[in-house]
Amino acid sequence: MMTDIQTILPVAIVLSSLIPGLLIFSLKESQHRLRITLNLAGVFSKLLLVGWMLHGVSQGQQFSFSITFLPGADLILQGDALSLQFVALSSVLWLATTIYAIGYLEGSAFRSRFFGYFSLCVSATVGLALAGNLVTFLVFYELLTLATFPLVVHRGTDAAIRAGKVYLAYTVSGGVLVLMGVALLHALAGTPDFIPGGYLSPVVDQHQAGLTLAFVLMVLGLGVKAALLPVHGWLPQAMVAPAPVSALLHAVAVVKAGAFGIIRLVYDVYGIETLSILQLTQGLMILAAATIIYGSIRALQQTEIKKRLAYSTVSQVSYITLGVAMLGPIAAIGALVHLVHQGLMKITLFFCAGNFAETLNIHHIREMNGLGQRMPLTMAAFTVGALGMIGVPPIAGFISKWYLGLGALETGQPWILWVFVGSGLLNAAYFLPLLYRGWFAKPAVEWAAHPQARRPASVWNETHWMLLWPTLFTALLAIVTGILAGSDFSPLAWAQLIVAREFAP
Amino acid sequence: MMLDWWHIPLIPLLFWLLMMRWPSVSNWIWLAPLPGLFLLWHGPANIELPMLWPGAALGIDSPVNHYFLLLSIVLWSIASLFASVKQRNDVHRLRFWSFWLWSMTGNLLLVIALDPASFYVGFTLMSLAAYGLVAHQPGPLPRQAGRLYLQLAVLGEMLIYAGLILRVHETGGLLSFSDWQQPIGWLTAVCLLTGFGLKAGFWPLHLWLPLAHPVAPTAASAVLSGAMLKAGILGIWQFIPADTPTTVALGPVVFFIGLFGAFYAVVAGLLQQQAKTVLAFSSVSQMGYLLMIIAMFWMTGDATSSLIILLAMYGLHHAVAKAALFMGAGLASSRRLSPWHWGLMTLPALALAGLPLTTGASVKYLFKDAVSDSMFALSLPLLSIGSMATALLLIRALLLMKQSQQNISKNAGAPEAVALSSWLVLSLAPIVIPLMVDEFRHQLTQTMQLQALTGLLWPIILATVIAAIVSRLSLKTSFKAKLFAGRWLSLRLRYCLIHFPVPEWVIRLKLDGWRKVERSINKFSSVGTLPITIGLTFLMMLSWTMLF
Amino acid sequence: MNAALVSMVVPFFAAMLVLMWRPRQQSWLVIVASIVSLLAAVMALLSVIDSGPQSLNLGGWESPLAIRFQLMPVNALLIVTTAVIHLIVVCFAASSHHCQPIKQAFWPLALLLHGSLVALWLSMDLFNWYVTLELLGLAAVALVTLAGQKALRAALDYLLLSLFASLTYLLGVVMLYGQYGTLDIALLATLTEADRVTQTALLLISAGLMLKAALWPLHLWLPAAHSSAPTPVSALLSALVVKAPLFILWLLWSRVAPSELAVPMGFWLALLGGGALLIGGWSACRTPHLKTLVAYSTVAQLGYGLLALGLLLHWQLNDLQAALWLFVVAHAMAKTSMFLAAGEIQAATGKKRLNSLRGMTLTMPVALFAFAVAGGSLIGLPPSGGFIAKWLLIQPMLIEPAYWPWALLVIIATLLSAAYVFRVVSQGFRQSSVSATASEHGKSAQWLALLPAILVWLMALFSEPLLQLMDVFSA
Repeated sequence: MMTDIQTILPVAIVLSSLIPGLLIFSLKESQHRLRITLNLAGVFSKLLLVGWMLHGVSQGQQFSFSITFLPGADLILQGDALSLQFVALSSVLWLATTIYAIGYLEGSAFRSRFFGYFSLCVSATVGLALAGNLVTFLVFYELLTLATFPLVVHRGTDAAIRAGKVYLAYTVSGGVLVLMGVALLHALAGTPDFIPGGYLSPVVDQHQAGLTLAFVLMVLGLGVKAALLPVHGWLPQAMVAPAPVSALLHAVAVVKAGAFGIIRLVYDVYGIETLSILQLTQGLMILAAATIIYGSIRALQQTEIKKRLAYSTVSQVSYITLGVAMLGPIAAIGALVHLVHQGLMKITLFFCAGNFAETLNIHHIREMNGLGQRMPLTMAAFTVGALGMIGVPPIAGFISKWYLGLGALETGQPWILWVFVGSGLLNAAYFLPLLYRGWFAKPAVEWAAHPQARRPASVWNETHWMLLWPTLFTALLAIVTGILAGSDFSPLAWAQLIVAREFAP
Repeated sequence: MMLDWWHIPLIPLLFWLLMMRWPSVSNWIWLAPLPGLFLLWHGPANIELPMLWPGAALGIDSPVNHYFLLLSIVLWSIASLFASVKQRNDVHRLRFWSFWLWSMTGNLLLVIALDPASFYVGFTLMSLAAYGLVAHQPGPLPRQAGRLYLQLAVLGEMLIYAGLILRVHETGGLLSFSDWQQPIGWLTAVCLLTGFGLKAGFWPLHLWLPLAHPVAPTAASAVLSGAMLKAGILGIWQFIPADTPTTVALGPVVFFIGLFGAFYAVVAGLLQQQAKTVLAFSSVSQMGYLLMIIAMFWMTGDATSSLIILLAMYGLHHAVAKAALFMGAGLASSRRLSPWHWGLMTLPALALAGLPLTTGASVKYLFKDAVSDSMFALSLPLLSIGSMATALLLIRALLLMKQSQQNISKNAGAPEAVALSSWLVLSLAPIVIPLMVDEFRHQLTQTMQLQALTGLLWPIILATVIAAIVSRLSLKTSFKAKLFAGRWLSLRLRYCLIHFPVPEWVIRLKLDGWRKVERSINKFSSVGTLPITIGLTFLMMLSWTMLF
Repeated sequence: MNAALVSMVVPFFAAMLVLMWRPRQQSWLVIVASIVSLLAAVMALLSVIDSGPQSLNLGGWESPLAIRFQLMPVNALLIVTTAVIHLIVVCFAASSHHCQPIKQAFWPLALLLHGSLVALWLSMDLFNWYVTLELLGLAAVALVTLAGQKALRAALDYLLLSLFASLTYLLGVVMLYGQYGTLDIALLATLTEADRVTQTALLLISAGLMLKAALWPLHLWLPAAHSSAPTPVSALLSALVVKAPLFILWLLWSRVAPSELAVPMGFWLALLGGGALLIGGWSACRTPHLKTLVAYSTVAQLGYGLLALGLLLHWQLNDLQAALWLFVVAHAMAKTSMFLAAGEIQAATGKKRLNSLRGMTLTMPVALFAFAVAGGSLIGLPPSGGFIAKWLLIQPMLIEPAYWPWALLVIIATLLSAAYVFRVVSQGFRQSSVSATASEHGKSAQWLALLPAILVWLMALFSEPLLQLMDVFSA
């Protein structure tokens, strides 16, 4: 009986969002109650299943499911510690975002289409996290691209279509590069399951050029989603999407899919040994460092809230890449924990931006003056997110920066510490003015006189509760994961567990 | 329920939550830091909190943080009382109190932190929340002062972060101050010194201080100058180990930076036109003395050294006296003061200048003692001149306060009772503390010898004389350029960052010109499908036959 | 074997029945015939899997004289594909109301096309192929003319070029016959030598076949003919008819031609394949018309077939056969879906241009979805049939660093195909100016258009048996 569950659980986790998604497609626009029920059923069943699996994996159980697919490369879904870090993150944030999206899209058109694709996206993300080998990863990676596109162009305006095309141009190109990389590795060494320490060391002497090319292809391809420097251009463009999409997908799922892929590639495909023989990570480190600084400077120059957040994502996601590229256990903890922390903080920021836009039609930074009086709770959540991004303790971001900085020194790359310092300064430079405007600046029009923004009776009614509560929830999580970093249930503890398994001799 | 160390930073937060629900709680915020006193009394065991960030441990392990906790509690409590009156009619008082409480939380946490991460948590919280206090009042000046404060605070944060990480790495991952005796690297030391120095505000890292103090609400200036500057000093003390090759080498440099700063700030301060600015420069000058104490300690590194006590005492002494002066300046600029008020006002000023029977006398005496024991004995005469300079600066401050009385309206009443009494407590503290605290009392008896007395008194008398002469001459100078330098730099920095030229990396295909060519090709091939295709077939055949 | 013959004969009989008898419910008759043909094809496939390749000599004569039919796994698969697609197209034609006017003539011609295609797959000698090709070509041209006046010019070009191609083909066949005295592939394979005559003959035959298959650069007739034809016809032509010459080309060069000739020829074929991929893809990206885009996509996708065939010959790698035929099958399915969806959309809007697709996600979601899903397979997104084929194609390219430029070609081709597919799909998401609502109209036709697209994605799940089938064959 136990073995059955261990086979079925990974599939069940993917299906728990896929099936509601497919059912939602068939619903009429007016059946909103049924749609909400389906959505929430999916969300909670997924959370339940993920919780089950988390428990199992922490006990050392193996979860694996496979069907035949390509010669020598089955489709494998498996749950290990690393995949669960990502699965748990996406499931929890899916909960928040689903509620947010229900509130956000209340009364607008195309909701069945939206929620259908939204669920598909989450399924693809989860599948990608649970993928047990490169080919399976590739399958879900491409599916994620496809399922996100309709969400980017959801509004159907000319700007949205243009952004959608840019998005596709980047992600499909990236997908093709990944495909080539996977195929090349398959040709050189087959496609065994992911294994800590990688599986390429036997062929490294024979195929140095091939492995190098494959790494470059894969990193470039994954780099598109992870928004690495020369190929990050889609992310700011994709900000035309509705706020929940920007929040969950562009800040979390899609970019993390890229970063997660790089983690898998480095730790479970190539392995640290092989990579140090091939000497490939120095380049990746420099690229990631350049992205961190570049993204921050670009963020500083944006005048739109969402654009600024988008460039901030460009910068922040590269922390993960940088941490992975350093190839040290402490840096790895930093990278893995930042995967979660950045997600929590960035989703909060995007929720807040959505709240501003939805409640008061505020899109530009200059319109944020005095927002703290009108929407104190959202502004407080925004403050938490922004400070966390800078790395202010005790918010989650500090914990990641702590381990990343220590990792940089441990692996003998002290210059990276200065990259973090510079990025912290730039982060402060582009986030703090927003906080200043929100809390200290005088609003252009008194809120009381504002036509659509009459101050509500209670603080808790500053905006629709379905928009407010997810925002506060994620902000709270960002603080709690930072303060209680040392507890057994924190992302940090789990990251340490992963690293202990990955770096085990 | 027993109080424990970890309750200390939580109680202000509890107050904050209560205040968000019932705004009138803000009248009782002065109670928030007081439980700490109970802990100081009882001194429960230090605790470790493995649930929190790496290495978290709280408690008291030396006289320095013992006294610093005391001074923080006293200052925050009294300043809260003072502010509860002053901010009563403020529109944004909830915002003020929020930042106040957050900053208090941070300050209390950092003082009882026994590990670098907790210290950093508290320090950052305090530093950033204090921005809300500096920039609280409307208008361009607070905004500019706030911007500069924040820029330097963030720069300091990042330098501390770098230094912290470097230090943790150097010590091999140890996370407790008591284990941090390994040699420190140059880079680490400079990062930490600069990072904390930006908060401690000694020369040349004082840029924000003279801008921020005059524009902040009075109570905020009092805690800024009294408690938060000390946090910077405490940071340097805790993070940088004494008696390592680096610190021994760095000691003289730092000593002379402190010494120079102590004089420089007096000169700069004498040229100012505003009482609070002058007081701010006095703080810069006093921080120079604290820095000298640390530098001397670095050279010896003796765990039983009197320098440790001296640092603790000097911190307490300066904190209460300077806070009293700031509050006095605040009162003087808004309320009509009677002569006995003025008498009370001179007390902390004289204490700072080292008047016998006050805390100032004790610390000055000990300080001279320490210097004459150290390798810097030659600079001893300078210290007396320093005392005189301090006295001169404070006289200048008092005169400016007196002047500001002329600007206030006739119908401004006497100070409010609560504000007055809180100020009274602080002003009297320089005399009361020596009666209550053993260390001070011990020194006090020694200062009562004749030689010591004259040594302490002549600078004050000389300063009074000079002041009298100069005020007759009524020298009018303006030295504002210096103040604007910081402001200008901060604006310039902002401009440069926003206009930093970075490429956009967007690839655009320009196909409009190509379109025409394409059309003609399409037209040609659709009209001539038959001949082209047949021609191509032959061509292919021909070329293949030739090629093979 | 008998099952395969049934699959071939049933369409012919049905065609005659329709022509002579003219029953009232023609569509049912045609559908039943297609189903029967499909069942027979499946049985043939099963029997091949069971007992391996089989051959049959018509009339009981021995080899040089007889008409020989051979059933191998690959043509069994092609027969099944043909039958499936034919069935779907026929059902579509029956259910889609805008096909109403052409039905009378469409049924017999489509059945004729089906029958001759199956005959072509089963044949194994050059003359048989000539006959079936002629039948196929005539039926195809006739089908194109059903679209009426506007398609006449394209049909005429098609007809003339088809005849010209038949002539070159015939010339080559005659030369081979003169040299070796036989037209049977199996016999020729043992006889051929790498001399000048053989070479010229093979090149002549190839040129003719390439013209018929619209392989680049001899493709100019295809976009016009395929886009102006009626929707079900476009689907049949693009999905099936152009594959027939490719099949002959493959057998000719891999069996008949001696390897001294095949190796250099392979290189050229692969180059032409690359040209097709790039130019065809580019044209598809640029054309303003929906059906022309789909037609250009056929030109481009045939490039994959040619590339696989060329590299197979050039490197003498039998593994690539699986890639080649999976491409053909996957493309056939996907293209059927695309043409049916595009045709349905075009019929609904009454406009040819791409920008008439605005708001299609609301008004015709299923058709647009079908187009997108089929497009995914053309791009080669996993897990689809197109992906499996591409995967098999690039595997050998990647092993040797010297072969990597070919992989680069595939990358660019993939990007181009993604570009034209999403060009269409993104139009569908554009907000329409008129507030339209989903029409119940033509629902079944839309679902039928989706069916082959789903089949091609399901192929990925059955890739293992498919590949085993190919392995049996190459072994």
